Formats: sequence, C-alpha cells, structure tokens
Amino acid sequence: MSAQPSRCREDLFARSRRGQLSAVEQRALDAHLAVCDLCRAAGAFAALYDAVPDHASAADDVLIARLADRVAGRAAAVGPRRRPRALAIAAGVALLVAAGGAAAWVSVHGFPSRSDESPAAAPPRETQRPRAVAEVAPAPAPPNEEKPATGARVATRHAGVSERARSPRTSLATAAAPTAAELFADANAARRALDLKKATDLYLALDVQFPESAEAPVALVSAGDLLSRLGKSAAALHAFDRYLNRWPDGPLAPEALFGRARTFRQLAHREDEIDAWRRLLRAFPGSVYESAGRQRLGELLR
Amino acid sequence: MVALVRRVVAGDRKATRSLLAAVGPAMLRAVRKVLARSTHEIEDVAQEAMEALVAALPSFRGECPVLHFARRVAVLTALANRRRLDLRAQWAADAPDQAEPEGVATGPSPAEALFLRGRRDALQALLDELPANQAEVLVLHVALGFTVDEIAGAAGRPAETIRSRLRLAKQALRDRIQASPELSEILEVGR
Repeated sequence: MSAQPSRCREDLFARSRRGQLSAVEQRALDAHLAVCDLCRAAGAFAALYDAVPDHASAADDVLIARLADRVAGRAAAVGPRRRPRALAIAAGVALLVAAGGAAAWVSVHGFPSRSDESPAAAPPRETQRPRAVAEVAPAPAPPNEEKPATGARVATRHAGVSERARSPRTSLATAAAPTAAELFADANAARRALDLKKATDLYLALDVQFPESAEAPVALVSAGDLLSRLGKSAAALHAFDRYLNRWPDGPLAPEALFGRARTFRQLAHREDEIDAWRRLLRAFPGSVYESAGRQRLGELLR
Repeated sequence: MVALVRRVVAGDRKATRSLLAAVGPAMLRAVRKVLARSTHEIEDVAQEAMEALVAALPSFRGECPVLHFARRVAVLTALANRRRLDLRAQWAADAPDQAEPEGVATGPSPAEALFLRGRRDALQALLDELPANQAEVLVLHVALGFTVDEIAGAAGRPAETIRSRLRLAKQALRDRIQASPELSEILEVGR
C-alpha cells in the first residue's frame, strides 16, 4: 500500500467527474491517485456507479411526462409556494426526503390540510374503526384482541381501490378477506394515485387486521406519514408511537421519530418538538435526518 | 431556467411541467442508480423526488444549476427510500428481479446479465453498509461530481464536516475492497 497523502484532491476529483479537467489537471489527479488508495477506492466506486445500468428505455419519456403532469397538477392545486421561513435548503431537502419522502416537507411548510381536525378532536383511527364481524373469514395472522376489526367491513369500506376490491366477490361478507399483501399492494396503489385518504385507511386496516405480518411495520409508519400530510396530527402521532412501542429499534424507527418531530412542529408544540428531535438525534446519530434535526433544534433553542 | 423556476414557484402549472420534463431524465437516472434496482417502485420514488424538488424550489438560491439541484434532491430522496424499499422487497410480489424491463431478456447474455447483477448488488451493498450521511456524501461527490463546498453549502454543514464524512466513507470503501477479493474483482481493482 502506498503512503497516504495528508489531503485528497477533492476539487480535481469532482471536476474529473464532471468532465472538466484540463490536461494539466488530469496529470495532477493521476499523480495523486498513484499515491492515494482512498481516492483509488473512490474511483472504483465511481466506475461501479457508472457501470450499473439505469434501465433507461424509450418508455422513460412517457413516464417522465406522466410524472411531470401529475406533480404539476398537484402543485397547481396547492398554489404558489412560499419560501420557508427558517429552514435552509439543506434542512428542507432532508425533511422532504424523509419518511415517505418529499411531500413530507411540503406538509411542514404549508401543505394544505384536508382536515381542520385538532389534536383533541382527532381520536386515533383505531377507535373509529368498526368492530369485527363475527362471520368474516379469519385473517391469516392472529387477530389483535385489543383492536379487533376486520374482514368484510374493512374490505367493503375500502372497496373501490382495486379491481379486486370492487368485485362482487370481495364485497360480500362471505368472500375471502384480503390478505396482508393484498391490502399492502392496494394501499401502495392508492398512494401512487395520490388518493392519500384511501391509502391511509388501507395501511391502517392492514395494521389492525394483520398486526404480526411483515407488512405491518411499514404500513404503520406509512400511515403516520400520510396522516401527517392530511393534517390529522393526533392520529399521525398515534401511528408513529404505536410503531415505536412495538419496534423501538426497528428499521423504520428513525422515520417514526422524524415523523413525530415533524408532527409536533405542525402542532406548534415547541417543547414536544424539541424532545422529539433530541430523541431522534440521540437514538440515531448519523441518520439522514441529522442535519435537519440539528438545524431545527438550533432554531428552537435560540 | 431561472425565469422558469420563478414561474414554478408562482404556481404556474405549465412551467412546472416544463421544468420537470427538463430535469426528469437526470432525476430518474439518479433514482435508478441509487436504488440499484428496476421496479415500479422507481416511479414512486421519482414522483416523490419531483414533488420534493417543486417544494424546495422557493429555497433555491441559484448557487448551482437547477439540474444540479434536482439531481441532489433525487439522490437524497432515493437514499431515504432505500431502507423502506428493501423492507418491502422482502415480501412484495414486485421484487426487483421480477420487474426487469422487457428489453433485458434480449439484451445481454446470461453471463453478462450475471455480471451486471453482481455490480448492481455490489453497489447496493456498499451503500447499505455506510452510515446514511456518508453514503449521501459519497454519491454526491464521487458519483455525481459535487464539490465539497457545494455539498456543505446545500447541507448547511461546515466543509470540514463534509470532508470528514467523505474521508470516512472512502476509508470504509477501501477497507471493504481490501477485505473482499470478490468485490475487488467486480470493481476490477488492481488490474
């Protein structure tokens, strides 16, 4: 192994990746690479990145046009964007990519709520869900005794999301209830179609009907994320807390903690928001939310 | 482009569509590369990235090209979604390998396809093994050519912090390569 130089030539490396190096600069970078195994490793990573196919196809133009039209339509419905008061780009981007992605940031910064529901007036969804119907076919997973609900009532309630759900077979109490995977797929389809209300209902139905399923953790955090975007703050907090109580070290715990912090911000609960950010930074230092969390904490503690 | 951004911020639907159509291909490529898979989840993440871009544009200070800004948003969105998609892929019917685009079967030979898959898996593993903030810096700098100052400015962190993360990421990368002959072969290191 060669002796490691004290400082890497990041400037040259970046310009090289952009194809902006002069011949002299290229020689300087080559000389650095000859003695720097860190930058050689980086170069190998860059080559790997370049070599991985991105599966671009002729259909991409159609896909991009469809996405652009969908997002533009939604943005137009929201109206003119206002500049975030406090967060800089970094925090904004970090927030917007969190827990279900980009639109989370929008919800923090003025996404129009479809609900004026106040925390006090917003009982968790589970308490609003109809009780179980005895004659419904049992779900594959053991029912949750604390929150029994399911089957046909839920399937009927959410009918219309998919062709399967719309079919007469599944709208009858005697029909087989949707599986966890089916509910999950329907919820994802509704989310893709920007029908956030239906998607939320389906994610929550999945959690209630199949609490032990592999889909339940993701469904719960996804539901919290969507509830937050819909302005149902209390229900969102309930979903995030439910996840954290059941899987405190789960793979989506950072997302759930971030969701709590974001929701407290929506509610303008300063102390709760501070606690939420601190908990996230303490439990998951180095997460993608670190930068946004530190910046927001700084603002709150100023 | 700056005028177009202003119209997007003002809520002009046509301008928004035009901007997204212009930066969409680069965003889609970045999402696909970072997710290192081919599945319809790509569409979900690309849509989230576009929504994120539109939401973040009021904060865009014009310190870099809009395309650069859009690519960063796409990378961050994709990185943030990786963990969730990996979880879903464990049980979803649309697991990555079942959603290869149609042209693949008539494209590379089985051996080539295997090699490509090895590279894709290697990229995915490397990104997964790194802490999130290091993976972000690695992709932005090493793969996309962002300078340290650009990342620092956009992330609101000191340049030395970014440089430190980058160094840690590169050290982890080097150690991983040195410890794995298989990875060295895939990366063609030392040839």
